[in-house]
Amino acid sequence: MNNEMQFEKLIKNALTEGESGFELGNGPLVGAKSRLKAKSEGYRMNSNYKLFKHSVVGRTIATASCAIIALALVVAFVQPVRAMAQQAVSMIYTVVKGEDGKYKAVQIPDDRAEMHTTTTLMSKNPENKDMTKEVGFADKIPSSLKGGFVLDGKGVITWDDSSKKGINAIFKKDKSLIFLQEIDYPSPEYMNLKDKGDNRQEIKLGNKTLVYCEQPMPIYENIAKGEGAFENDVTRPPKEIKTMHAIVWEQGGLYYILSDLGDLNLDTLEVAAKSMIESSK
Amino acid sequence: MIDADLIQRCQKEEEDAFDELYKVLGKKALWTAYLISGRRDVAEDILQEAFFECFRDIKKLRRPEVFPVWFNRILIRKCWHMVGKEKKTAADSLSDSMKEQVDSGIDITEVVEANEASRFVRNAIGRLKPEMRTVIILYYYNGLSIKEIAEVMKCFQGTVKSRLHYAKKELEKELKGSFGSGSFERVRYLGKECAIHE
Repeated sequence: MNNEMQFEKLIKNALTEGESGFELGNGPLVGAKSRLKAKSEGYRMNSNYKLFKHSVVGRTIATASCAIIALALVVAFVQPVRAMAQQAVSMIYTVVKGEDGKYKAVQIPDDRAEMHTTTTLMSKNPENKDMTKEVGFADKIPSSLKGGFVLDGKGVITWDDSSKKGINAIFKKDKSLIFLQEIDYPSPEYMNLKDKGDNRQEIKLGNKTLVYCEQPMPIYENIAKGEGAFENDVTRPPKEIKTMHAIVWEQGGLYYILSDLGDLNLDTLEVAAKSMIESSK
Repeated sequence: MIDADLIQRCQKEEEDAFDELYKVLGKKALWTAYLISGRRDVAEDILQEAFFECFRDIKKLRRPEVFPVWFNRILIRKCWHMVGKEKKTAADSLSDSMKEQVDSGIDITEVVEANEASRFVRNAIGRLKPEMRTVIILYYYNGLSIKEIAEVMKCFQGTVKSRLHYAKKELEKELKGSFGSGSFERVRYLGKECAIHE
């Protein structure tokens, strides 16, 4: 046995040894199960927490050359989460729909918030073949959408709690941006928008049914994390609450979310969605 | 290897399936959490957090075969979160561990002699940076591949390889430094001889 192997064996044995002296009690199991029970019973008490759970990007990493894209993504998909995952934050801010139908910021304890985080690595000129290999399906995102929106960048999106990967793309026209998510399964955010988005309405395009909906989009202060990455400072109230508009649909086994930064109307999004559907036929 | 049927039963929220899963994974997960966090009480908290999240979100798991990576990702994330919160280093763990053994009435002399090298190596691992420590533990204790560790830690395989390489270098340096400055030192280890070359 050579020294390298002996050394590796030493490490392995050191790590394994001691495990047998550790008794596994039922405490953690009982605790986990009772929390699960309490959660399912109390879940309906405030459905806004669900919104928090299923919302997207906690952290967006972008290349330095894509700072705008990174910022836009943070703003577009953001719900606050990574920060509290990494720091001992006791209270954080999220947005709920008030009785008057308006969105408002509320403070909640961090242990009630669900940590559903995603990461997107954006690139201005990604290699399609690399992307297909990474996500496991052929990318159907066109280079432009009707209405004058031109593809500005795209990247692979990953979820912390799933091995699935999808594609996020950004289309740009002047100062307006459209975000398009393409994935081969109904992601949590897809299902959330489709089933629980505000002011939902169906849109018929030929024999296809699309769902339009709205969601609050809190704009938090960003904390720069270096290398073009940002994090939302959820320990402070959002500086603004916008309303994000989105259209979701399924086509050819792929699921799409097309959304804005709160500055576009339904007609514009519908035209863009229609052109995406036509281009991917 | 976790049975796909067990995962599916958990996805249906069958309570006895949750118990079974805990039984299968619990001990290894607890020890992993202990190796990373360095404290038994913290490790139990981590275990509870990880299983709570696992039970809650297992329905979302589409492919049962990715369960080990998925579960370890939750576990490691919880470890890092709790370690950050506790602001404790794993280096503290081994003195705690020894204290526990003293408290439990085990012959400490025997433990020290039998486990001296292991204890020393674990101490050195505990002093590594969290990312390096995690890679070492996932690779050598949990038996995950480089690819799986990359998926657990959400980084490139090259990053895992490099962390593993530097972690081993670091450990080697520490061990050499502590077991003497000669060109060849022998460390008695569970009755066998392990050589550390300079």
